[in-house]
Amino acid sequence: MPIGINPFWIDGPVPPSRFIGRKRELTKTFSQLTGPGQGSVAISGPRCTGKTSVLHYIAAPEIAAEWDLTEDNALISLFDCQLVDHPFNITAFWRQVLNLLRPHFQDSMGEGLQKLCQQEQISNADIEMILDAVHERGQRLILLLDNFERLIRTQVANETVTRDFLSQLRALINRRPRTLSLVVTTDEPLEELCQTIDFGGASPFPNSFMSVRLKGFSDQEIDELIENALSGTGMTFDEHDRRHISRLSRGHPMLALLAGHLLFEAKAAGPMTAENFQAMEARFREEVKKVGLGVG
Amino acid sequence: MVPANRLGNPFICGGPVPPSHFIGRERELQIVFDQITSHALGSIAICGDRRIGKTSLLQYVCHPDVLQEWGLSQDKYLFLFLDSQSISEFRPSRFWQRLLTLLLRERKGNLPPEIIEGILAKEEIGHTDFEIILDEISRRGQVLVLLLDEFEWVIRTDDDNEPITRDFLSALRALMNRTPKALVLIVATCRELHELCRPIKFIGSPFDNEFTFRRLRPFTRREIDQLLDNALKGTGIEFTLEERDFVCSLAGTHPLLIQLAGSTLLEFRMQGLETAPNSELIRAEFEELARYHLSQLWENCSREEQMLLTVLALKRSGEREKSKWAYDGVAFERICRRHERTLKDLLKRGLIAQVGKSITVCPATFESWVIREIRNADKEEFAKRETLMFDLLPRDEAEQVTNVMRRISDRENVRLGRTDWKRIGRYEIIEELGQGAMSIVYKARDPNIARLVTLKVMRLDWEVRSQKSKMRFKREAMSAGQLTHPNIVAVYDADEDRGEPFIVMEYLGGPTLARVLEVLAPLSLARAVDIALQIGNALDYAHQHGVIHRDVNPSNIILLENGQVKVTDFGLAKLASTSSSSTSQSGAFHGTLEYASPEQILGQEIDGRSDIFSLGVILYEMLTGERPFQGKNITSVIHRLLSSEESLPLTALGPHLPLELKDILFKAMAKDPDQRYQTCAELGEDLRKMISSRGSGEE
Repeated sequence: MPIGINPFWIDGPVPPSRFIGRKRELTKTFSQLTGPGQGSVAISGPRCTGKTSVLHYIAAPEIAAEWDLTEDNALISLFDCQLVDHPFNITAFWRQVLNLLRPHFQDSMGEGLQKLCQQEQISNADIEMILDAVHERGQRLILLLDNFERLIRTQVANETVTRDFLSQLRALINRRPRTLSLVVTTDEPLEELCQTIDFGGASPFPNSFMSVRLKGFSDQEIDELIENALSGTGMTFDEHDRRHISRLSRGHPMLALLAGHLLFEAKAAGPMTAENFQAMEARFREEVKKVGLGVG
Repeated sequence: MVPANRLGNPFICGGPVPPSHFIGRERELQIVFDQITSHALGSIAICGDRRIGKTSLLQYVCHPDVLQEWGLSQDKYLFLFLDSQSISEFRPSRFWQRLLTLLLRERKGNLPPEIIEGILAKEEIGHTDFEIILDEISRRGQVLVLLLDEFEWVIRTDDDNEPITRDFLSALRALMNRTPKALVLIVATCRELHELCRPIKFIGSPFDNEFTFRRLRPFTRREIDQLLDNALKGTGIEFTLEERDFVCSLAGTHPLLIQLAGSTLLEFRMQGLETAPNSELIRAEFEELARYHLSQLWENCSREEQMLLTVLALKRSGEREKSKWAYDGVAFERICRRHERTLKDLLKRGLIAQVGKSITVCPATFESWVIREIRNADKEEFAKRETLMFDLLPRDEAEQVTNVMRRISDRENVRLGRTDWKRIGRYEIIEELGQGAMSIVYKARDPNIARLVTLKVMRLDWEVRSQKSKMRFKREAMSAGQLTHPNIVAVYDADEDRGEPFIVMEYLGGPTLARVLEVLAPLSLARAVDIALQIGNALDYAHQHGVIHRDVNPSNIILLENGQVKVTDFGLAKLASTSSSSTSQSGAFHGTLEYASPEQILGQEIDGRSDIFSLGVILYEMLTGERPFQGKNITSVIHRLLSSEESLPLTALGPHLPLELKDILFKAMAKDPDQRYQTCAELGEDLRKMISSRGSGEE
């Protein structure tokens, strides 16, 4: 890659090929998904800390295969809950998810899904039937639900539907044979989002999840990020540059990419002087303000 | 599914344990199968804390391999598992519909599908429809065993739903009791069934009368070992006896907590880390993972249980931190005697442990959680906990307990119980400005001369409030008050009100340097040096008058709009430490760690050079936006501060800053006070020289 094409990815989630770090969080998540409990995981972390990128990474066939999740035994599907129509209703949610799954089934099951999507109501019993069919094919379904807070509405008008939806979802992930696992992402921890929901004395939804909190990148992860981005560009960042990025971003992955992006741009334009550093920092602060991400 | 290429962590931290990994519960299984196979076909109500393993038990009970193992023919016994939460907007008709759909789908006992389909075609299904199915089942000599998980979901006792619930449960009871008997229920709830059914006004026998009750208890040590062995199989890692004890010390005997503790420990071991040196890190990781589940345990306790857990946790924590404890042992004994029955219940649930006469909250992490919740409680939460005590304990005992709760609370307004104070001394409180490690700060008004003032109520060690300490406080405050300098915040008054010592100072509207650095760091060289010079002037003046600041940090520096810098809180760190003999004896450190000099941390005699070290740290931070001595925890900060090998991270200064600056910072932050600048004036001189050598072009 010639110098000039900026390798620091700042537009949306990082593609799996450029994903770095988060080894612990990924091991925890995959361990739960593939371990004996075949459990579900709730990933939380502040805005732009890489939750969506983590989901994309998990969904990447070559990565999932490393954990023995291949198309022969698992259907991994990523769904952004921001796409759910509002006002929210359970049938509409399942209709959207089932539509997403349809391409995986070219046979009679695909037709079955199509018919189900046309139903006026989709109940838990219907989803159980789908899950049983998936199980009979020797597969399981792993649903990656991004921006899950979009489905947790706790205003008076929505609380009942939210409570019913979450309770039913919980029943689905806990049933035997275990055919459905969820990985949900939220900014706030799931238990905090569900705190005000009255589950009528029955088990609260977050009970069935293992929680994983995404924190800031360590210096080592930032170094890896920089190394990964610069590889093949012919450009190098020295120790001072790296710590500069660390300091500006305070470990926030998106801000580290932004700082890297700006520094790359500045260095590509010519040798760095104190003035250039200051100008780059000023731009960084401006951009941070624009995207509404505070550091600290 | 075993990972193909990766070694996963096999502990189950999410949902129920699959039948293949189910362990223990022999006694419960015996009771369940005895009841089912007895002539009376008895029903069973299982209850237990959240995540104790109720769902896992139900799913295990109906697993075909298990039924075979227990000699139950699947032609005769039709086991049907239903998670009640899967029924949307619960209504009896939906319940029967759900049950019939399951029967049809799972083709249990070869029941004729046309009968079920016929009923399912109806718009409303009632229990009489289900009776037709039961007739068919009993005609075939079969028994339907319904495993109803999350059964509280169907027990709605609010005014609107109570009659529906009553009729539904009465109908279910009637179905269980028809002859010949063909229906057995195994229901699982978190709270006991008769407690859930208590508000329901049954006409005739209550529903819960029909059940044998069983509470799922925490695991025995044998079951814990079995769980660990089972999980570790195939990982190539074994836990030693000490490690198993460590798991138990973290998690007690609750199965899920054991899974979480095992998982955390294994994660460390898989990284090749040893347990003993990392035990504190493992504990911290576990506490984070378990926090939500501990809160669930608490929520599932009755008010009386919560009261007792609080009393026990406070007692134990007080024994550990002797200086903070003033709890009356006799009152404690009285409380325990009066609530003996509840203590026994807690013991059964594994939430307390008794060794001899000593009773403790179990596990220790739950005890820490209870204390932390008090410590972090906001006003509302705290009031809730106080009410609990006054509702359930005689006034004198409640007062004792709540006083201790106030002492450990981090929030000063809760701790001092003066959220409603409108006046302190003669000063009228306008608003709270903030809280620091040593004080709570108010904006106040002196009504005598209509002047705005800053009023600080000191956080002095709570136990030692002797007359002598208070006099010393006043004396120290007044000597700080003698300092009159344009860069020092003036002290007007020092006194006490209702036993709380306070100090009154000049009110300045400007932000602290800490706030400015949060937003604008790093500052330009010129601005940073200007601020440092003004701080140095203030310190030099104070040192010449025999006053050492002891806590120079950005929160104590105020920047005014006109560029003037003011240093506040002279000598207050010393006030905080000298007012308490206990803290002095223990060598407790009062100040802000990242800015403290090595000699201050070591508790040695200090002089003005200690403040110079702190000023060096501040200058470094202004120029880089970072503190030179940082670490993941207190220990690593102290290590960095004290280690002679640890050089300053001067690379962070950047190429745009002059080389002389590095020398100045190096000298200001020299670990040995003799190698340091001896006065602030010397430091100031070097800074001025450096600036003038850079020329007027530098910003």
